[in-house]
Amino acid sequence: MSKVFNIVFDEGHCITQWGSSFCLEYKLVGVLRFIAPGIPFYITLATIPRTMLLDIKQMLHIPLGSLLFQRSNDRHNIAFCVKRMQYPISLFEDLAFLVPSSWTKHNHAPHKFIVFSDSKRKAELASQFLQNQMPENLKHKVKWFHAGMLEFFRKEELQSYKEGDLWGLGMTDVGGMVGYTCRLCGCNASDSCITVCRVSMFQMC
Amino acid sequence: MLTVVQWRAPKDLNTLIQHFGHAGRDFLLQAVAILLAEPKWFLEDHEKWLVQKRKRSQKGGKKASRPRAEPGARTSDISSSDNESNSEGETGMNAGNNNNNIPNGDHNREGSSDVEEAIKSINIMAGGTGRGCKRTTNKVMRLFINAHLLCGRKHCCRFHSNHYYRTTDIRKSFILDLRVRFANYFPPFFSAKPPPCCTCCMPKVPSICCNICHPDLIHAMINECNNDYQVVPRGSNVPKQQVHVLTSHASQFRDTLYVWCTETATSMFGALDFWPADLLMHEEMLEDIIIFVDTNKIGTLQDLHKKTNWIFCDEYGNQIILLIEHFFPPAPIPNLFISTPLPLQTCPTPFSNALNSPPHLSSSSSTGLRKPQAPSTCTACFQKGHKSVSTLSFPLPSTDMMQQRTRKCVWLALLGGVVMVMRTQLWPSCSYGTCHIYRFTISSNSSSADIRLSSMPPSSLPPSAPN
Repeated sequence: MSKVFNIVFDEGHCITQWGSSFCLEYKLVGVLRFIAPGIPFYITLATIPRTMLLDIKQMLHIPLGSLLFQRSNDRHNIAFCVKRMQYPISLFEDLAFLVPSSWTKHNHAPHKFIVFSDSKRKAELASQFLQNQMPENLKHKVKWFHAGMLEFFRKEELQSYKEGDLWGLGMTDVGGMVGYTCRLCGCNASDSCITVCRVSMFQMC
Repeated sequence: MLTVVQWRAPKDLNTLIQHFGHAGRDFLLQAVAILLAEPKWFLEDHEKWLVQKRKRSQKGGKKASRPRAEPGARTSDISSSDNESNSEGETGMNAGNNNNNIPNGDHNREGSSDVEEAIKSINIMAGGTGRGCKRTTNKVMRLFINAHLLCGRKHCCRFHSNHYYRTTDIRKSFILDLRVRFANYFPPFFSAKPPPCCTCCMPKVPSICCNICHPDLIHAMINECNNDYQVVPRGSNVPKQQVHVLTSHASQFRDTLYVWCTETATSMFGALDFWPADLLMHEEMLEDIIIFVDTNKIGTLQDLHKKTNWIFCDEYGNQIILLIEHFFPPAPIPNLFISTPLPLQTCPTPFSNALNSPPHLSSSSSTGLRKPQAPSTCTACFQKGHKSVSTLSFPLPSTDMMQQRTRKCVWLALLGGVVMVMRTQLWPSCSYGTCHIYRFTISSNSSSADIRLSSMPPSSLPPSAPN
């Protein structure tokens, strides 16, 4: 116990979001405060509204004097866009704009994309739809990616996405959590990657 | 450039922003994040749907029996038409989709005043988009999606997410802080902005904000393709969800609870906040509470805490319980001394006396046949009332959550031979618990593990066990 000098939670929003639904062990993570008294805790999150802040403070028994560093989580290089679905949900026709009909093998690499959906099945269906939109020789450029896959396969897939062999991925939330993603998305043009932009952080003693 | 698409609006804004954040991790790249939201999230479609539903009800004439509130005035009575809306919430999607085929100029013009009203209503209580998404929605998500209605006041999507995460406050305080810090270096006539402390920390203004602020640029970034796909009306094979239909009593209670929630939250967080009621109690939780109360599952404060795990249960739970008791007065406790007599033929004669005597006495007389046992004595601490083998040498009450954790922790640590016991309840002055370490020796030669206590700090023996 004396060798532990820090306990750090990354992606702290999972403690509250998943602790109440499918990973109930996260709720009990506050016990660590008693098992390891006096060892400072750090929690980092990217999205923290006020209610979640209260929740996490309660769950992890954070004393009043702890420090809160808050920085903006507004990413200036991401443009937001809200689109209304034009077609029925079951058809995935709204995703068709991602695959323009002009794509051929000799084109330069197009813009990469990731499609997030809330279940494995939907991720698979969305990717299958996109595959069908593409010409026959390019179908392997779009794949799906979720937690139901073997680890080495996921690594391989992400590697190829990074290198530009894959053009599109259909993902679930869990797929995004694998941890490689922080080095995944920005790397299609240049190799310089800024790993993570952290927003809020607790320090408590 | 990288594109991140969110297929269907997620449950809350956190998930959405997390997903969007996967785009453009390299700050040199410009990325687009697109949310493909179902039509039921949009206010206009909801209006259209209402219009169509009104027409339908005029044709059918069956469902129009109850007077409906106008959509703009829905802020005043939230529960105005929830009963019927729930039953038809699923079909809202269908109506929205079918309407795409219809040239909708008339509807829009007709409903334009409604939309203005709705903008006001969004500003006031930030709610009421689609009925179907009532239970799965978050008000911030509605604002985020319907931001184009509010763009007159420069409320684009980014504004709402920034406001939700208090990024605007950060930016303001940052600039203020810099002004103060660099006041000496920058005389008042110096027009240039003070430099930030570092490039990472300073919030930057995005060059391309969102499809409301820069519609042309976004349009150029997303390669639109001409799709000649014909919209097929959705089949009726979508199973309807089972919806709990509230009683009139419960809908009154729901009104009161909403009003209470808004008032309390406004006094708590201040009137300037956008989502005061949401911060106090999320809408979803509120709806859950109403259903629980309606099905008689919440009666006491403990129930409320157990069912909802509300953060403010300790502070405001009593008020909610009072409200519940006001609307749903608890049934009077049946008197124990009046028992319905059993039919005589089923009752054998020796027990016939027991009919007149109160039931708890008769039950005690039946258990009274057993010999009373002497209180057990602990072999470790020689106190009566518990056994050393049973748990540890003192009993741990099992009701409280904290002590459940304690017990778990104790058993975990017992495997290593060192037990750490937290006794937060006994020293309330110490808020986060004190650890006491005892060394236990486990002799495994006998079949049952014999646990002996040899206290490490002799001064801090456990306080006498509550017998």
